[in-house]
Amino acid sequence: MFLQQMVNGVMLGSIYTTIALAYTLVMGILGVLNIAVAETFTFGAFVGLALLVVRVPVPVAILGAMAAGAVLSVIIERFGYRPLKDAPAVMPLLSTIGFALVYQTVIENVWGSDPRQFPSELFSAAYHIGTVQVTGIQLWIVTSTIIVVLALSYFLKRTQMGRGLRAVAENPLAAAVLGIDSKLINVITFAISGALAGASGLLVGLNYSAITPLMGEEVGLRGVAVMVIGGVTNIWGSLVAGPLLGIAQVMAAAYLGASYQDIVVYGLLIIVLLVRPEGLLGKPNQVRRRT
Amino acid sequence: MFSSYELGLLSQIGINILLGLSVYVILSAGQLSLGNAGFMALGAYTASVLTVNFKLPLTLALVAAGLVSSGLGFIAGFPALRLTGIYLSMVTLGFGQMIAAFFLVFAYTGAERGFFGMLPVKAGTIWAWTIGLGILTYLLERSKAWLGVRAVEDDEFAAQVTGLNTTVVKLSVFAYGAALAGVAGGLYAHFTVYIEPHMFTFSQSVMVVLFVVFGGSETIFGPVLGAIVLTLLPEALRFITDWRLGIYGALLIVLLMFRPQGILTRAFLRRVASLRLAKRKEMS
Amino acid sequence: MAQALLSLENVTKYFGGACAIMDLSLEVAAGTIHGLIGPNGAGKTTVFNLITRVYQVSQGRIAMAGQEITGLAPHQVASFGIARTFQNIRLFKSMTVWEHLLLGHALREHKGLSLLAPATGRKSASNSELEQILHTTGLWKVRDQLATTLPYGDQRRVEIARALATRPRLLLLDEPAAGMNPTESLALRDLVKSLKGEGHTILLIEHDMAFVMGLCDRITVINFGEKIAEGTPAQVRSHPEVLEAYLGADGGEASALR
Repeated sequence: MFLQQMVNGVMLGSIYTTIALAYTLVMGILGVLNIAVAETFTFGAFVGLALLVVRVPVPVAILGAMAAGAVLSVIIERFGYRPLKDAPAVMPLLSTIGFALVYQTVIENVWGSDPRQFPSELFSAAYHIGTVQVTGIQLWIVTSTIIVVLALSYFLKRTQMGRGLRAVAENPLAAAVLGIDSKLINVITFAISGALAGASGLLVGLNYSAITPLMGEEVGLRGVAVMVIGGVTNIWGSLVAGPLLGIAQVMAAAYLGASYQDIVVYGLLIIVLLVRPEGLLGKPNQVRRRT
Repeated sequence: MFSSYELGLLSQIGINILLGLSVYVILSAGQLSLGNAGFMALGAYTASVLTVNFKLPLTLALVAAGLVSSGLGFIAGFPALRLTGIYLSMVTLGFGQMIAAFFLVFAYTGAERGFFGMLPVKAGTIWAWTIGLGILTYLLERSKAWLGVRAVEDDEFAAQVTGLNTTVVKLSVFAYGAALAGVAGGLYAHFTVYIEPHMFTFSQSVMVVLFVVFGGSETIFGPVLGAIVLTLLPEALRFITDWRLGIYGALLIVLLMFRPQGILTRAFLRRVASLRLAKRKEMS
Repeated sequence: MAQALLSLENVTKYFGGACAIMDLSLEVAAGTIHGLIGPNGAGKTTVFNLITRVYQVSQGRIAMAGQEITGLAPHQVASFGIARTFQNIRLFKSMTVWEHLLLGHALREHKGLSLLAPATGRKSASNSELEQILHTTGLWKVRDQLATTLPYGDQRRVEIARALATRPRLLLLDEPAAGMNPTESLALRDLVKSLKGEGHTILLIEHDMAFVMGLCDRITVINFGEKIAEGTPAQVRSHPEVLEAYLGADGGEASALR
């Protein structure tokens, strides 16, 4: 039973990791918290579902969800981030809150407020490893999360574009002087973030075989918590913090009651912000007040 | 004189003005709080428990609500001291969510089933508090102490070196803002006569921030205007209730692109004042 | 011999592994104008930051009128009577000139409930003191203007006025003549001279050699965080190490030394 809970926690954690990555990319590179990642997540799920309903193969549906997420994010870049990038970071944050409201309203009006089921033939058998049960989808989710983290890490460290992103993160002015097109970088950052969120939404939907328009709101803020706890500037931090929080949450639900999940999650967030605001694997100077 | 519907609306406006002021006050020291719904919740439950379980008169209960919330606001201010910008807002967000999450499991106040039994409060009483606290805030803004608040917002480093204990300033505005939100919460609880944790979520905190961003973050009249307009707007937009939040979102986006200080800015008010002065000179 | 108002004793400052200030000792005598000069990057502003406790001293001691201030918080330093201006002018963008003075004054004089008094009022004893400062710094006419809308030279004066409003015993001026044309520079020099005449003690960082030589009673020269010379302007002017430091850095400045 305990082991099953642990496994469930890790599964949940993988979802959190992917969402946290969506937040981390924009936050770490551009210094902005894009609250609307949560709604992008939901949108990806619904678009993916719409594709699956017309018999599109699952991998294509995931690509569709990624594209949908990317589009939503790029819109935010154009109208929420770009006009405000020289303003204090709370301004773009407020703008993303505006986008979150808009996107959520659109989702609820287009697709209604009721949960939707996934076509049942998608669901593969469950595997039993000892006393623990995992479904094929869950294995998919965990592996794809790890792949995404590795791919992102490689992208940022080894590729030209990735290094461009990091250059802009460190010093936009210097990057511009070096000829790095920061406008393109910004768009790409938001696009990748959106794609991650969209794909994550669809994967979650596949995992629970149902989605609701409110799924993003629940998971979203917890994704922020994972990002902070893991360390905003560090991708591996999200990989560590995701399962950590997932397990904590599942344990809280199992041993204290479902209503205690939020207390545990936000309690951890506050403790980290109090004691080590740069997170488990982050770097201190970007966060702490300089005196 | 007023229909009960209109009285209800007036009550809402009064409460929302106090909430708007609570964010405004904290923002005056450069701190954007995304968790004031939490202070509101604390005030709501405190006041309700005091009037229902302990039979205290409402006025006393509201004062207590304000004090308790300000205590929490003071505590919430501490992590904010070490953080800047977005991280500061994130910690306020975390706090707000924590408080709602706490009441979700707190059996004494009914956990998720909520709390009820409050006696309804009159619109007049609500407005007495709104006007009273509004005037207090107005006077505070004009005091020497508030120069310190403005200094922190303008240039915290210079303020420190000039001799200002910026820590005290920042904690104090958190405490005061939280007190305002707490009283608003207490009034709200006696207006809706039933409260439950889901009423005090992040969305609520966002709405309150919207009052200030929309109405104007530079002067005290900003949140007042924002609260009035954004409370009345849903009534005017009845036919598109389903799209209401989306419209607010779009408004926010456009506002931030073109007029981030909100509608009522200091410059705007100064121009109005000088126009009035010119008119008076003309007429004399 | 005037007693030392400010003294730095063997002050050393490390930033990580890098040594910014090495074993610096310095005394500023009360009622004098003391100059702190050196090439770019010598550490002059760092010294100011150490005195005003923005940075912590790695080693050594800083004392004000004999009392140690090495361990204070930045805002406490002001209550010891140390006031400062900044190299890049730092004014409060929402405040008028008058409000800057009010703030500085309130921070020194007002405690508790009197802070809740309205921030305007012209008719009280303390306000007449502030009015005097406005006259001294030539800002009376613009007192109700937003400080950041004033011309650069006036903004610098506002910074000085704000500092004066805190009733300082020691004024730290960080490159007050920076960015000024010769007329403004001259006017500023006269202001600083008159402040000394009123009994203030001033420690001043400057690049402009003419400004420093004509004004200071004593000068300390630092380079790479270490003191290389100290004395009257005449003594410093002909000191070989000083000449080398400046010739090496900027030929133009060396010619100004003569």
